[in-house]
Parts: sequence; structure tokens; C-alpha cells
Amino acid sequence: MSRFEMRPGIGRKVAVAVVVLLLAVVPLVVTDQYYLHVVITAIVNSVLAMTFVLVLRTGLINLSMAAFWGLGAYGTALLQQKAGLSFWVALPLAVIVATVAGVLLGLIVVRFSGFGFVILTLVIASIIPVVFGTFEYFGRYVGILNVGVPEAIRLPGGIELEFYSKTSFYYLALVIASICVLVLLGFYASSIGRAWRAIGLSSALAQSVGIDLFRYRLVAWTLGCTIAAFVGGFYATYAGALVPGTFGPFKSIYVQIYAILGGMGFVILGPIVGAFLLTVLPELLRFSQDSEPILTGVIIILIVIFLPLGVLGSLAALWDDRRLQALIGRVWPRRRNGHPGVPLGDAGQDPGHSDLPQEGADS
Amino acid sequence: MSTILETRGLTKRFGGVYAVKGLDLSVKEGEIFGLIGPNGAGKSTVFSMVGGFQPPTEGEIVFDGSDITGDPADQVSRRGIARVFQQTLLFEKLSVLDNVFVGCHKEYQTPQWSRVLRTRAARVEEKRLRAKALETVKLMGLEPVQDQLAKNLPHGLQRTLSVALALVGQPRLLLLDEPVTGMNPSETKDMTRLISRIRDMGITIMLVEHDMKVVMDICERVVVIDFGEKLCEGPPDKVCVDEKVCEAYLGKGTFDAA
Amino acid sequence: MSRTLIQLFVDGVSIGIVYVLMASGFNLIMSVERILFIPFAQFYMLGAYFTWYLMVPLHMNFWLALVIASLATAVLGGVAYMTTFRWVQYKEGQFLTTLLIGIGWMLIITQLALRLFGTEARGIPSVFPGAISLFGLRISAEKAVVVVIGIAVLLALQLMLQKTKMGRAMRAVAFHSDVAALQGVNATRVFTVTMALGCGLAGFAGALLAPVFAVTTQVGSMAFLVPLVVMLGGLGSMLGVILAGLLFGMALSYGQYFIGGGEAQIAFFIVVAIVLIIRPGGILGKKMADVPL
Repeated sequence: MSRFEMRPGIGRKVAVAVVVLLLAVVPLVVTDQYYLHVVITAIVNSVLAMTFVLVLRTGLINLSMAAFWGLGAYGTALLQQKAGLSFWVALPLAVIVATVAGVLLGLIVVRFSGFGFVILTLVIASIIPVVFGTFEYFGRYVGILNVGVPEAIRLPGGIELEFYSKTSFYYLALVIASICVLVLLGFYASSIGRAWRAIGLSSALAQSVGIDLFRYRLVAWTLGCTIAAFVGGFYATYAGALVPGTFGPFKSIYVQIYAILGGMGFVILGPIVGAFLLTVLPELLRFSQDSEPILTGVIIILIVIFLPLGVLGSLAALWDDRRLQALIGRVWPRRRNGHPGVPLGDAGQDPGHSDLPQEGADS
Repeated sequence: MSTILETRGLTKRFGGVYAVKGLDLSVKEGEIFGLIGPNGAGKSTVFSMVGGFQPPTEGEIVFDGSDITGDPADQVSRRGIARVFQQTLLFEKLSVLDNVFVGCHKEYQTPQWSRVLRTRAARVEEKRLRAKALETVKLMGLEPVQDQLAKNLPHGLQRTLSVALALVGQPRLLLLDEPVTGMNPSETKDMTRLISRIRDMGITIMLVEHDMKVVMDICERVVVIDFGEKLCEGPPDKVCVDEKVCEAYLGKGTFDAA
Repeated sequence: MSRTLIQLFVDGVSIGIVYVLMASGFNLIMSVERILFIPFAQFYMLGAYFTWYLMVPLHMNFWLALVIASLATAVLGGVAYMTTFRWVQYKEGQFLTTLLIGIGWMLIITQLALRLFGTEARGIPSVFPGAISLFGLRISAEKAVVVVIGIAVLLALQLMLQKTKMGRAMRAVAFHSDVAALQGVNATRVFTVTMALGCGLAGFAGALLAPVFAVTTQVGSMAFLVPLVVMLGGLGSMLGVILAGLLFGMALSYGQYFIGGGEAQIAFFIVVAIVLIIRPGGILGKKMADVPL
């Protein structure tokens, strides 16, 4: 039984897998193209929110994710249009360019912390869309139109994957999102992920055990930029048209909201919940076009005040509640970690700490 | 015995105020060295500078022959200096075992990329370090609570844990900032014994402490500072009757608020 | 040519004063409450809209409208604090939670304004038409009024902070909130007043400039630059805010004229970023703990 809880436990990995499977089934159930579009948007937002949480875990509030998302999008679109490259080539190239930009900016910006860092990321988030909007090359404020659709892939066995229908875009989105999730989980489970966690919990203590704050933060930052750009590339081909306004600081701020509302202790599920909540819910509540932002605003405020740990966090805290546990324990007794004589901590346990019995040996 | 840590003219200035002024210290390897003085004398600032958390305004810090002046804290840590903070810093939301495991972090030798990809070498090393963490936990008597979250531990055990965190990295010099503050007599005795055991392991200890009994008990040499300057130096029993020292302490009085 | 330069200078001063007003409000909220108050721009917009509403359909005189609009936004700010921010003040993760609540308010206020006032731009007939002669130059009367009133309000603010009991309480809390609590300062009241004051300043700025620009819901977008002004001036430092605000005004004025458009914005941001990188404490290099207000 693994007694090292620091990486996402098996329980939560299963949960993520379940979510992905559920999402995979959606197009078979939902036929309305509009709602399919909403879910795709929610998936994109989820991944962006995950990048926010990634950097947040190291103690930094990064409000520039939308800008890198934009870099990936514009990069992919431009490479397709101006260089005539296939989407499948343009995307990786654009991601590389965005990553390099991320590293360069990160080298300057990651040195700061607290307010300074936030403001600098806001500056980045403001400059990049303005650059897109100013120069003819990027299409000014009209943006880029008619971004090419990904070329069909020929699979062995004669099957051809085309990308004209929304459904195929949906699955493309899911695949891309899954790749991002896997990469993130891989990092979180490694020593780098542990270092991140340590930095986030106490940067002074992390330093005193030999963890170089700058280096690890830079890695988190860069990874975030890369993932954001990756999803941006998808977005470019899916949306077909890009305007600078989509990638401005407000989007970054929204990304932050998705992450926080979901629950910051959950690095993958939290962002998913938050993004879906704020992307899908307003659509469902569309009884009045006008009221929608007001409702969103109110929802945000209410959740922040009443569910300070975010949706998942509060649910987890509820789950950890002693009385609830006692109740469940009577119905379904199960083994738990810990020495029999020593009482276990209850409420206030880290929401990111899985309660399900751990399986498998170390590594 | 050789000198393991030396400060020359160590100075820290904040605007017009000197927290530490021209301090010359010399700590010999393997000894338990005490840094004492009234509140606000600058002791924690000295630790902060030696540990790399604050750069000195002037002066030098030499550790084991190398100049570490101004080096950042993580580098200093990797050189072999560990610090136990006054405020009992811990990774609160992690279990005891995980806390110690993080403490092993700088021991990683396999390169980053191989750790991310979880190659065979990386996994072997991780196993080794986890075993090491477990061993330290047992050594410090924390095994019964190893799975508890750090923030749920009673105060005394939290202190022990923070020492464990510092020890697992196998430091050569340990900076203990007020280890027994807030402890009852029996806990104090345990901590004192622990400190002696640590010294017996070959680790040099530098101690900041208010509890004079503890200082007399275990410190071999002591330096008294006030207003950031050295007042006197020597074995504890001699220092305590020194005139200047008495004046500094009595002048400030124990009636002063912390 | 030099006349234009001087005109631009005057423009710069008037824009700068407005930024200083807003930055002071933002600074106040940030220093005293440690809240990054995002909806700031919205209160500016409300000030402008209220003024329009009072002056055009209700035919009120400008001065009266100015006062009422400012008070209204101040009251709204206080209400916002009492109903929402209060509950998360000093709790864990306060920085993020207040940020989010601010965003929530931003959405609500923007939308309400759209519903109440419609989407067309509203114009207010010029209150101080024409120009006045000063030192042999012709300066737009409006701008002169803005500068004069702006300075007056800033002085009043400083007086209030230094001399009144509430002002001293605010500075105490800005400096050291836990100590202030021990001294018996009623924190909630101080915070409510602070937020009201900050929002009132934003509303005042909006009201003051309402006759100068058209009033739309986008009108608050210039306020987005306010946090930058505060950072540039050094968090918490009043003097820094004044300097930074004026510099901003100058930069915008000259920049708009000589370069104009997007390039100016980009250059602007880059310069700001560089300054922040070189001197993270702002031009005066003061940190939050040093000089509260």
C-alpha cells in the first residue's frame, strides 16, 4: 500500500479517466450542433484553466495564459495561410514558437512574485492582442479569416478521418485535451511536481531544502505556455476565424475564474468542473440574453463566498467531515491509513488528498 | 578541530538601522555553538544571512573554505547548511512522511528529463530516497504519526518534524532557531537530548536560544550579541558572568515584551 | 509648433490629474484592504452615466450632478463591500477571492448599465465651452476646470487622511492591520469607508470627464491602466502615484499625437514593463510597507 500521497492518487486518476470516457460518449448522445459547440468550448476552457492552476501551484498568479493561447492560434493560422503548411505541421511549429516566446518572457517575469508578477502578466496579456490588432500581418482588428481545416488523415486499413463535421472536431479536441492531461499528470507525479507542491506550500521551506524556486517556476510557466499554445492551435482551426479580442486579458481573467470555482486543490478535475460550470451553465440559463452576464457575476460571487474551496473542494471537505464519515463507516467499513491509536485529522484535510485506499506499490 | 563556518565583518543594514554590525564569528566543526542575546539583538538576521535568505550588506560568509556570501538559500542548502526556522515551518498539508521525503529533494542525481519520463534509473532512485525518508522518520521517532498531516500534529512533534526535515538532507551545519521555545520541561529535555545526538552524528550545530539552562547545558561555546554587535565570546559559564552581558540583559530586562 | 507642444502638455496634465485621482482611489483600496479592485473601471463608468442621467433627462446643473454622482458611486462601493467583500476579508487566499468577487461585480455592473442606459453613446453638452487665456495661451476651459477641481479634491483627500480620525485609522490599517485591530479600530467600518472612498473617487473622475468624452460602456477601459499607474508610482506611495499619474498623462498625450494608434499602446506597455522590471518598487522605489498613503 503506497503511503506516499503526494501524487494524484489512483482514485482520482480513475475519476479523470471516467470523465474523459463520458466526454467521449457525448457526441453520440447530443446531436444538437450548438450544444456540441458549447462542450467543445468547455473542453478548451478546461485545458486553459489547467494551465492556470499549474502555475498557481507554485505560488504565482499568471494572468497571461490567454495571450499564449492566442500565440498558438495565430501561429497555426498564419503558418497555414502564409506558408501553406498543413495543419499537422503548422500546429507543432506554432507551439514551438510559442514555447520559445514563453521561455524568453518567463526568464524576465518569473523572477518577480506577488503583485509584481500579476501585473507583469497582465501587461503581457494586454500587449499581445494589441500587437495582433495593430499590424497588418496579423490582420489587424478584423483578424484572420478562413483558417484551413485540418487535412484528412489516412489510417492504415483505408479509413480516412476527415474534419468537416463538428463531431470530428469534437474528438480532435478530446484527443488534444487528453494529451495535455496526460502530460500534466506525468509532471505532477514526478519529482518536479513534488517540488512545485513544496514551493506552493512554503517557498521559504522549499528553498531551505535545496529547491531552486526560479528554475521550477520557470518550468511550470513554460509548460503552461506550451499547453495553452497547443490548445490555441486547435482553436484556430476549429473557429476558422480569429480576432484579437478573444485573446485579451479578460479571457485570462475568466480562465482564472474557471480554475478557482472548480477548486484549486484538484489540478485536473477542478478546472474541468469550473470551466464546464461557467461555459455550459450560462448557455442553459439563456432565458434572457441580457441577464446572462449578471447571472454569471452573481454565481461567481456566491460561489466565492459560500464555497471558498471551490465546488470540488467544498465537496471534498464535506466528504471528509467526521460525522459523514462516521455515518458511512457504519454502513460500509473500510481500511484506512494510519495507526489505530492515533486519531486522524478530519475536516480541513487537503482536498487534493485522495481518501480511497491506495493500490499498487511505490512507483 | 577545523573551522567550518566563519563570518567576517558581517553587516546588515536597513536604511539607517544596523541589524547586524561587523560581526566576526568562527564556528568549529563538530561543536555546539550558541548565539545568544536580548530580543532584537539581530540573531535571527544572522541566521537569515548565513542560510542565504538575505544577502549581507557588507562582510563575508565562508563555509568550509568556500565563500558563500550572498548565495541564494537553495544553493546554500545544497552546500550542506540546513536551517530550522523559528516559526516551525512545515509543509502543512502534507503528511509527515511526505514532508521528510520532500526534504530529500536535493539528493536527486538523475537528470530532470529522465525523472519526468520515469526511466528505470529514476524509479530506482526514487525508491531509494523514499526508503531514506522512512528511515529518518523512524530515527526521529515519528513513525507512529508518519501518515498524519503535518498541521494536525501537536506542537512538540511539529518541532521534531522540522528538525527531521533539516536532517534528512545530511547537512554538515545545522542552524537551530530557538528550538525549545514554547516547550514544557519534558519536551525541552527531549529536544536537548536530540541535539546532542545530532552532534554525535558529526553535525555541527549553531543554536539561537533564550533558555539559559539549555544554553548552559549543551553549548560548548557561546557568542553574545546585542544591537547587532558582538559583546563577548567563550564557554557559557564564563560568558554569563561577564559584566557587559549582564548589563545588556538586565538593561533590557525580562520585563520587555517580546 | 511649440504652441501645440504646450497644448499637449496641458492635455497631459489634465489627463494625468484624472489618472492621479483614480489611482489614488485604487491605491487606497489596495493599501488599506489589500484588494486588487478590478471593477474600478466600472465605477468610473457609473460616475459618467449618473452624471449624464442627472444632467440630460433631469436637467440638473453640472456641479450638483458631479456631487450626486460621486456620492452615489461611493455609496455603491460601500454597499459592495458590506455585502460581499467583507466576508472574505482576511480569510485564506484573500487576494484571489477578492479578485473574483471584483470580477463578478464587474460583470454585474457592466450589464446593468447596458440595461439601464442602453447601448448608444450619450453625449453631454459642453459645460465649459471655449477657451481661457492663461499666460498668453489659449487653453480649453474644460481642461482647466478638470485640473483645478482635480487638484482641489486631491488636497482634500490628503487632508482627510492626515487630519481626521477615520483617515488616521485608514493609514494605521494600511500599515499594520493586526496592530490596528488591537488598538480598537473597527476594521469593518474602516474598510467600508475605504472602498466607498475609492469607488467615489473613480465615480468622481468619471463624472468630471463625462462632458469631455462621449459616455459609453467602454468608457471605463482607460481605467484599466490604473493598476499600472499605481505599480509605477510604487504601491502605497501617494507622491509616487501623483508622479506616475502625471507621467502617464504626458505619455498618453504626446504619444497619441506623435505616434497614435496601436503602436503607441504597445510602446507604452513595453516602456511600463521595462520600468517595472528595472525598478520593481516603482519610480520612487517605495515598497508597500514604507509609506502607506
